[in-house]
Amino acid sequence: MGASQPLLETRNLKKYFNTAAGKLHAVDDISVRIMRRETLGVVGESGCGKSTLGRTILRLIEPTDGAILFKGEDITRLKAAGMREMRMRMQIIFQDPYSSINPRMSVSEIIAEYMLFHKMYRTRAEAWNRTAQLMNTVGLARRLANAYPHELDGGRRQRIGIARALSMNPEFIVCDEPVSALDVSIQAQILNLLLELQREFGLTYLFITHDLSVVKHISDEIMVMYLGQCVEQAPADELFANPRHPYTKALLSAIPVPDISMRDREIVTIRGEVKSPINPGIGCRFAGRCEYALDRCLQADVPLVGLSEKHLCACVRAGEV
Amino acid sequence: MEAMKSYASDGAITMKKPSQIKEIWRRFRKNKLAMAGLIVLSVMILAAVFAEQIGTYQSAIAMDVKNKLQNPSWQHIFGTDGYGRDLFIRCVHGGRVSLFIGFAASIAGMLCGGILGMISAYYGNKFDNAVMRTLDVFSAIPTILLALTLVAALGQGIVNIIVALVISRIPAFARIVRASTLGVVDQDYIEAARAGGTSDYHIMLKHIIPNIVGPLIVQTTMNVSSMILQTASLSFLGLGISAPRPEWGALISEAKEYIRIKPFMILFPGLCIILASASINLLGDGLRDALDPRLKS
Repeated sequence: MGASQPLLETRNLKKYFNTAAGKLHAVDDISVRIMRRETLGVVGESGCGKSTLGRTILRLIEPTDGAILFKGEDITRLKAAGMREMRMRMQIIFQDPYSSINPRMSVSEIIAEYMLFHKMYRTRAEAWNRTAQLMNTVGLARRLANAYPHELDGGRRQRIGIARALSMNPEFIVCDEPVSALDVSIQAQILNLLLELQREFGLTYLFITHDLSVVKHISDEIMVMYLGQCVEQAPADELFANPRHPYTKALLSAIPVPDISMRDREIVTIRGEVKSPINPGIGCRFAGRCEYALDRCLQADVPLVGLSEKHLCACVRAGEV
Repeated sequence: MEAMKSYASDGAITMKKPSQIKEIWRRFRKNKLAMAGLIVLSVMILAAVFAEQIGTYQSAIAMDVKNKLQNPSWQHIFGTDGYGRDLFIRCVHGGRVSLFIGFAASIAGMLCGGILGMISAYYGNKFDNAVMRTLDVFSAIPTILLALTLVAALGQGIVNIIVALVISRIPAFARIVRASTLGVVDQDYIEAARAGGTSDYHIMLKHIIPNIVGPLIVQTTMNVSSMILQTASLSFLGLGISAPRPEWGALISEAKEYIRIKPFMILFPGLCIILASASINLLGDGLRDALDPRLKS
């Protein structure tokens, strides 16, 4: 395969949930390309569909429409057996380290679960060896092998989740807000661990977060989501230096800057409430809260257009504001 | 606790961790009440198993009218009944039937109802609806009426009584297991297991069952005593175990005629039921706590 082929690509991925009130557009027409060894950061406020996107890509939630290409192969067409194989190559790290591991299993049982299920090693002893090695890799003391999750703190539990994901030797990992449930001091440890693992094993991440300072630290590219849609996508530095979508601007301006000379800087605040994701209708979904909104924002859907080769933005006034 | 854990200074993790059963037993032993329950229940089960050695079945049903209605004495420690049969031997033989029906019906009901409830909650939606509505129909009929009808239709006998009791218990078990399962299937570790490509069977066996076993054990053990009482009610109504075979409920039913003059006759089989129920419940509580690693101390 060519160097330019993305490891993971989604094409017009959609996930609508049927609710009593109508169709809930959780993920609406998302097309992303993630290159090998790179990290795509996905940011957006609560309920914008970030987690649904991550889970849909892994087919933990079946997509409504669209394609998910892993190394060029459309995994939405895979049958159960093929998907089982594929799961070894794509993994997920969960947000909540408390509910993501079974309280009735010991640390080593949790980490070894997939390996034993898929009989990845000929003997159990080999699987336990590998478990010990994984615990080492993620920085868990070996004496914790037979401990139960309730004896451990959030950071250690999250390390268990990471070791479990790594046990399948995946190439791609969806990190679903892996640090947002942790103390700030531990957040940095886990982030650094994820970065180290990426370097060491050549991993590719889809990193979901609502914490902008985290996303800048870890991502190569960043996608900003609003109500299920991608409103802006650009390389991390470019996005922070030159945000074009009014929503992105507002998000970035909300990051606190620990610098006294910046205390007078203008903060763009977003007024109003998020529109309901149920039957959102046509037009820009952010228009109701946008200070630059024009009539034409509401008349037709706003396509994602390229401002430069790698900078995409869905705003009719992207050039002017 | 630390001493129980295995350490490996380097190399592989020693998976020689204390076996689950040993761990559970170690935790169970600390619970005095549960231990008392276990001992009492064991004695009763042993007595039921070796009933023939304690007093032959023949002696439990042979009438001896000369010695009827005797008070408890060294010769007949529970006294004798209206036909002069030794009440102690009848209680021992009665335990055979009562305990067997109690355990068999509870365990079978737990398995049938539990599996139904778990699968129904796990797959959800239409399947769940179909199963639960069907069970609602069953639970609309009063338990004793359903059991009576079934016994009347199938005929008397231990097996038919068990079948009738199991069927009447399935909805209750299914509902309890379904409710606990619903609380577990939403957890991220179920999704993690799916993301790991494991099968539904594996998920149910390794993730769901261990996490719902607590309430299930309590329910099952509580059920044993209520099954014994149900059998007693059925016998009392004349559809249970047929005379002269002794059974705790039947013994109470027979003794009710003499309740004014010989109250001990109703007291002893009653005590047997109470002791068995209480010890089974204590055992169940202890077992639930012992099975949960979070409660280990």
